[in-house]
Amino acid sequence: MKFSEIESEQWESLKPYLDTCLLPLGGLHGSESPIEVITALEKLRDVLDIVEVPYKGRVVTYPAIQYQWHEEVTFVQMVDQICHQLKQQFTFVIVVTADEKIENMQFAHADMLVSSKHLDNPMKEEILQSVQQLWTKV
Amino acid sequence: MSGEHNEQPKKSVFRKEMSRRQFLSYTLGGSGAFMVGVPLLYNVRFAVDPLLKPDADGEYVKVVEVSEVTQEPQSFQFERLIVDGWYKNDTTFEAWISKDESGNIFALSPVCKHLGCTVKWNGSQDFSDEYFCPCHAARYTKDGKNLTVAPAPLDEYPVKIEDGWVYLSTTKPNSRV
Amino acid sequence: MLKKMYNWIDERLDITPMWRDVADHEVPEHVNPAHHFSAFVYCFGGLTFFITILQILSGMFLTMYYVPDITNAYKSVDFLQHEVAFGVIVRGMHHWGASLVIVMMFLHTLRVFFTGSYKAPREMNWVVGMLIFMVMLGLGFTGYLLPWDNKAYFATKVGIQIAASVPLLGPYIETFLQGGSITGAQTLTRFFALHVFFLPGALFALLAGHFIMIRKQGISGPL
Repeated sequence: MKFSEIESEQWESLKPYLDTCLLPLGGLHGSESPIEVITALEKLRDVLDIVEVPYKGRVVTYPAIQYQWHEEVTFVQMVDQICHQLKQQFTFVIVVTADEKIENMQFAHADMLVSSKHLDNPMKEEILQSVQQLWTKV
Repeated sequence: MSGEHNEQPKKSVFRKEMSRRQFLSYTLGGSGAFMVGVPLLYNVRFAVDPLLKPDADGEYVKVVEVSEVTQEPQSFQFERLIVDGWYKNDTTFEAWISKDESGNIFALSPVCKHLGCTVKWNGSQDFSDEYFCPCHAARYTKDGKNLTVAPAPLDEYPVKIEDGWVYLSTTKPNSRV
Repeated sequence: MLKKMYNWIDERLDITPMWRDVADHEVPEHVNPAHHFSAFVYCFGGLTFFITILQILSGMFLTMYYVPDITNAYKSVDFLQHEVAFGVIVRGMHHWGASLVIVMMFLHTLRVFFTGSYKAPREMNWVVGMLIFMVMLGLGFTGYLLPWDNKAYFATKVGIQIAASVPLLGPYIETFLQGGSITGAQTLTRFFALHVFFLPGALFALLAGHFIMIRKQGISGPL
């Protein structure tokens, strides 16, 4: 589910079931042309669909962090901090990205990282399995 | 001779024929009705067209060959053209198709009745021969009967078999449980 | 059967005098084509009315499919014309009828003019007739935009520009017709409302007046 699809009256009753947050990372720098931005966003959309569609009833997609600092360390720190904050609402946080650089970063507070590597089988099956394993850890 | 001729016109006065007034009102009424009736007919046919169009919504879509269907449910994907007036789009659907004990083919929708995740046959090692929803562990029997969590059984696709192919229509509430 | 039904209603409501009053009236010799063939010129008023009825009929049915909105107008017209049974005929009726009604009305006006039928005591009916003429042209103008194709759009733009050239009031008329500063979404809904509610409403009132007056005053005498 998208964060915007949830109505205020429903939230209390849905809260116990929606325990996983998806945090999309756009990886833009600001130097891209509009065409490149469109391609990047479409790719991110496709990667999001991997987990969003089959697990619609348990995940909430939050607003994306579209831009990225050139300095990797500060960016990782920021995302980690946000993940940490998100855990006040959610049990699990999964970061989702289509950007090649971000794919190789390590986020200590995120439970998992879904990237464009997982677009096709068998990697897709694998990531879906590991999300399920993540949930059974509770 | 002449006497006979004289009698003829007398008889004609009593002929049971249409009067001039009747003839005129019939022709006028008839052509009036024709002039309004024909356009009205076209218009009415135009208006009732949706009644006479084949129901595209419930149309059956070719999905898989009968020989591929087994006792064990398998997932198949198919595309359906959704038509709403001048809005048309292809949408992909998934169905779990299997045979029951008596060999009848039936198809279930994978959309969990709890919060809409996608269920899977044997989706969990802990529960064999059941549909399992990875999100909140909702479980269903092979017939789609809800065992835990979910409030209703899985939806069913009406099935039609023709020339060795399985055709599916649009989902309806489960009729097997 | 029909006779019985009619009698049953007539016994209770006494409807015979009502329709007799409407339908039974003398047709003078000089307007009867059976006597003088040239009298056919007197039929144009009736033909205008007949086509108007067909326009109302086909227009009512067209609104079953038509959507007055910039993204859907063209698509809905395309759909009703090509995918609905008899769509071509129903839209064709409305399309050709729109031109024909103006031709017939023009011929009717010429007949009235050349037979001098506008003279006293029938001046008021001439004025009402002229108002009907304007309402009909208004219906034509507003209806032309509704398919929302290029021809419709630019014809309306030109029409509105002409209206905008009126001294002093021009800019106000332009904004009123467009419903804004450009020919767009608001113009389309506005023209639709005018075409199917306001102008037909005015047309019915004027036609009623036109017919009541002709019955009251009778057809003008021979030349």
